[in-house]
Amino acid sequence: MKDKRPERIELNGKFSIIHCTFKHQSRSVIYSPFTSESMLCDISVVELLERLSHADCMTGEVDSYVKKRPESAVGVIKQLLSMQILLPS
Amino acid sequence: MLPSTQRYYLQTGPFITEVETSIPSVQRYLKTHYQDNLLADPELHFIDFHVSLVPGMLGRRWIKPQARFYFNGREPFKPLPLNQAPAMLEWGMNWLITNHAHQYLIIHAATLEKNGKGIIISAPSGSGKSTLCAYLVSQGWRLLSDELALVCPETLQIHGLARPINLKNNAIELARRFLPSASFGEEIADTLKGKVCLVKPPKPSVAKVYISAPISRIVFVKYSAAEQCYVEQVEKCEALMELITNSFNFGLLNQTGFACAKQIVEAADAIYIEYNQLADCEVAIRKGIDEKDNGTKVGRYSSDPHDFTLNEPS
Repeated sequence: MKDKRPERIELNGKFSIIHCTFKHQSRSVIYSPFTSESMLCDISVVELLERLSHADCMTGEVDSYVKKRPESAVGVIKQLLSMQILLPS
Repeated sequence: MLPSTQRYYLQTGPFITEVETSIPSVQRYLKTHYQDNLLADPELHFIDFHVSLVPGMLGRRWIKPQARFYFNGREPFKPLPLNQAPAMLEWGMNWLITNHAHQYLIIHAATLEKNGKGIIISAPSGSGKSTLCAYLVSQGWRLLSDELALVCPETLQIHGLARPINLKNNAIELARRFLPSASFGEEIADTLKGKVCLVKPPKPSVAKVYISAPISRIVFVKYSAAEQCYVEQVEKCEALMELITNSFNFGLLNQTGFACAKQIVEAADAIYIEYNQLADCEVAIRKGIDEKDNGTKVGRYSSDPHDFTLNEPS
């Protein structure tokens, strides 16, 4: 998948990781209260969101995540943007 | 002479519905199938839904006669052939609940209870959910609902409706082997779902409908002629996605719905069963996923490998 990410990305400040994610073993479910969509994904996606909630440089965290998972990460980031959990800034 | 219009007041779990009808087949149906749900003193209760079922107008009373369903004076559906009027009432009542009872998370699933343990049976249409539900009722399970799981987000208890079971096509003859013949209504041919027969709920289920049940197990089932009994544990994230996908009002409840569905999968185990014998399926439901106990194959339910799966809002 071609990487057409916005130059800068941030975590939606209204997104609650505690209330809108579920983790079990190696997988997780992420719910978007903004679009009412749900996504079943690897637990690493929630871990990314957790890191973003503390990160000084969110775009750097996203870049690092994409580098580690070049095959799947682009689709995941695109979906998180579509669900308005990540926002272009 | 035209048949007279009658009013009936049905108590189905937490809901009271006023049904006004002049259609003789609906009047007969309500007297037989809702015999134990009829309220004698409706003036003492709040009526949740006012519906009426009436024959088609003008020529449609005699030429290809029709039944029409009205809710609060409006007609949410197209008319159906008159012989389908009892089924139309059931479908209409399902529609009323799924569109108005948002105090519950509503899941397209059957719910039953035995020994204080509630189960949710989720399956796509045509997978044998109602057949299995009817069989479990014949084995002493208390019928909560064959179609709608009503889960209270605060207590996580499932609330029953104790309404008739809607059997279709081959399931009708199959169920005649294990359910009393008096409980079967008239067969209704040529509906959108094929041949339909409504089966009266057992008296004990109606009498105890006010007793809610905690959710002990979520069961995903599929009838498979080639598989005697195959049982898999369903991974919790997969189970959560299935509940979300099969919910009628998840998007509307928003974070309350997600919190409720999340707590359900945290509290209950989930299994997937493929079966060709109803008795084996019941054993698997009771014994759950303990392969050493029942000798069935056990794996881990998982969809095809992928990075993520998306569920769009319902």
